Amino acid sequence: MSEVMEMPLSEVAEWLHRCARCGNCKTVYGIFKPSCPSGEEFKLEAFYPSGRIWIARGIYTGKVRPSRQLIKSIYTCTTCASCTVQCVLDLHEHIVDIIEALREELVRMGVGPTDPQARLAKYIKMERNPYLEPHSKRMELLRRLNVYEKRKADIVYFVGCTAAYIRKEVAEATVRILKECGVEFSTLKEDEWCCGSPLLRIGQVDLAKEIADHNAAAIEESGAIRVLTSCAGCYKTLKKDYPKMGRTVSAEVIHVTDLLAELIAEDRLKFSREIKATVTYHDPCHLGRHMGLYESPRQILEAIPGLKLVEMERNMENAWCCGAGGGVKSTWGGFALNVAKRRIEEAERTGANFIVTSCPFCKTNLNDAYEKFGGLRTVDVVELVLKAI
Amino acid sequence: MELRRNIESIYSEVEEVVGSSFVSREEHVLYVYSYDMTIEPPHMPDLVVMPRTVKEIQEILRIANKYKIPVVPFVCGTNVGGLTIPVKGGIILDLKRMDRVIEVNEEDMYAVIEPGVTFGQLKRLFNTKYRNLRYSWPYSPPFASVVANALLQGLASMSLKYGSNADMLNGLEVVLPTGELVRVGSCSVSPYWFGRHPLPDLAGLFIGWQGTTGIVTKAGIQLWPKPDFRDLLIAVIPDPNMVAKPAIEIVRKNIAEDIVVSSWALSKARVTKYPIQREEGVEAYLQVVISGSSRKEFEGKWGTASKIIRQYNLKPVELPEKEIQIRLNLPSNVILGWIDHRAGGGLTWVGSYVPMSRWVEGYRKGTQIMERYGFSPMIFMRAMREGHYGVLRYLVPFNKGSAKEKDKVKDMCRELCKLVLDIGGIPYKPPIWMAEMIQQRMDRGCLELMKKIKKLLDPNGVMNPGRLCLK
Repeated sequence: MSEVMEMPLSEVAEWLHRCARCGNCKTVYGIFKPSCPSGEEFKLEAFYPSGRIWIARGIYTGKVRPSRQLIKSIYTCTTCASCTVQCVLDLHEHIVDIIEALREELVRMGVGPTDPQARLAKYIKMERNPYLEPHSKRMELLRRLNVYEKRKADIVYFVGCTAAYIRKEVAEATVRILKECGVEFSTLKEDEWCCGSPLLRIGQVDLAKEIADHNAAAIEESGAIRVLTSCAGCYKTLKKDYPKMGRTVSAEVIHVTDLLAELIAEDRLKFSREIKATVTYHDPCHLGRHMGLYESPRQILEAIPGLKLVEMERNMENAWCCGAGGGVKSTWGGFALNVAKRRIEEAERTGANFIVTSCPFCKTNLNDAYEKFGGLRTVDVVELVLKAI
Repeated sequence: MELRRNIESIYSEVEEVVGSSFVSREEHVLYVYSYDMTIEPPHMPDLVVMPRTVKEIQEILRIANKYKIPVVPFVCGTNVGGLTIPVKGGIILDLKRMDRVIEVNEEDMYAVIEPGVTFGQLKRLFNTKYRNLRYSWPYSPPFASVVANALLQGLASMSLKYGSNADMLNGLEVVLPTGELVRVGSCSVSPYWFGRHPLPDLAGLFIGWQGTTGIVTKAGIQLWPKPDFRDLLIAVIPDPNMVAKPAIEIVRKNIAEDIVVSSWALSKARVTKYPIQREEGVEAYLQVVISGSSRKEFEGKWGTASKIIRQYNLKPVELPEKEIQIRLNLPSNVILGWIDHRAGGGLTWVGSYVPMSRWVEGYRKGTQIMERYGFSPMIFMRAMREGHYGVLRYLVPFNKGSAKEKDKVKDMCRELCKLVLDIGGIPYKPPIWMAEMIQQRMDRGCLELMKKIKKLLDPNGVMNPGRLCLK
């Protein structure tokens, strides 16, 4: 096995001494604003990428003893990957792999993950989702929308846990748009399990592999040629992490924003209503930096009549994280909200009326921060599209 | 042993000062502060503390004196000299949280900043608010401390005119090792931080001392107007004997903003992996930054520099705009992109200030030494202070993962340091072993005076003990 994702530290060992701690990872070049959410929050060197890489080296060489004390600095990384953009050394593309390998190592050593994260893993094992919602209700919304029964189609919609249980409006908007555009699709029904993203982020790789085996088989069974996700996390996991774990997804994994951009280009998605508003787009880390998907959401927003898109200072590959990812929200809710607060403040400075994103988890955290601190609300791209057709 | 016994009490007392979020004695947190990118051996601190205010620093230093525990100031740890490695353990005083720009006085062209302010932060301020002002930018990453760089006498983009960045300090606010707060420079008398004269220049008690005489909590730094016209002239130097002459001649015409000579290996390292292949007929590159407040002035200077380049038969080089901007628009994130060119993430150097009259010798002999050890001769030179001295820096990226290579680098750096001293130069930002080599040649009276000053300011020897070899 040569893939980095599922390997503990020995598999990334060649990179562990390659960081010069030059500090580039700490700031967005050109804008010179902070790039690392946990470093910005906690300030100690151990909370920056370079510090974590050195800790990984310390663990690997036996100079740092594994202990629960490590948890905070290692598990407060949102794995937003901003450091991978700012670092100019060859090491850059391995930084998140090192963090995730370190977490896997800590799990194996019995040190990680955090208690709330361990509960997530337990919930996923029990109910196939991290929210401990009944698995039997996963497809409730799709039943209500009369799209549950369909067995075969070229596209299978992988709803994802957050859209299935928490941000149902995202799943609903996705389904309604597809129906409106006459796009045939099916679902995996109860064979859709959590994609495993939360597990991979916290180092619970063994369980993630089991889940990947199941989902990959279910997708193959569906006979679809495309798997559609409306969640940035599911998208990255199915498209990038499954192959890294040696699990082949038989269908092309596509994010809803790519599909909608396609439908607009083919004139199959037409807008009939104006939305008179100024919006700014928040790039989800899993969609943007991890997968390079920046243009489609913007193309969609620019195609909506009346809508004006303005950019935040840190956008696209330099976007500031929403703060929720990497298992952070479950354990350090206050920190996650502080990060989101900074993002909302940045959005406010653009003069936008609200924030648009394309990840239900980003939406959740940004709106949680809105509830606590005020500022701007966040909606998903698909919600806006639905309003405009 | 006594320190170990007291560490619990020290931790509690420091925690009371800064709060529990900003003090740590967790092994992995300390471990990160135990090393830097250089060959200098790591050493663990006992505590890391992140103060936010001057008062907190005063309290911490009082605690340090009470327990006689070492205190090592730290901001970003990018000094390339192992200078923040706590060789005697103790408290790492991480000053990142002290990152306020207290004042920018546009009219009198200075800023008052805290030690945690980075070059990137300062650049942002100029990009967004004070567009007509500039600072002297080093070839350092954007996340490096402006104040630390100046206190360590670092060189930068305007050093040809004004000297090292220490020469651009207008005044300091310092917490003395025993906890008292002092201001030196005009700010000791006046509300304006306009300069260090006409008073005894007490800033010298803290500049170049590697944090052994106090904690600087505010610094006044000089700013300059941004010129309207600015560009970079580059030419190939084909022969090692020519690395100094054209540069010196341009210096003496008083037309350049900055003059740098980079060896062939240094010029290629960012885009090439080890071993770097040398191009036929290329020994080094001469880089001259020309600026002017009018097109006529700019073109006149450009023409004069070009003429000198032609006289020496140097071949001008056309670089893509992006490459020119990397050199002109500092601080740059890629300027140190060569650090990892030996696939090892380590960087150490022997950087020095030398008489420019000895540049050629330093360049030639340095090349021989580096090649003998199997390293590409990455050599950087810059004319300083209108040519009254120059930089001679041997850069050594190395593989941190190889103990054997580290030993080799150590031996090589000793030879390079000796070379620098032999040609009448003095290494800057010296690690302890280098400071020792400097002191062996230092006037005894000067050395004794340094020791007396240190003893006077820091009677308990708590500030960065071991540094500068001030036993």
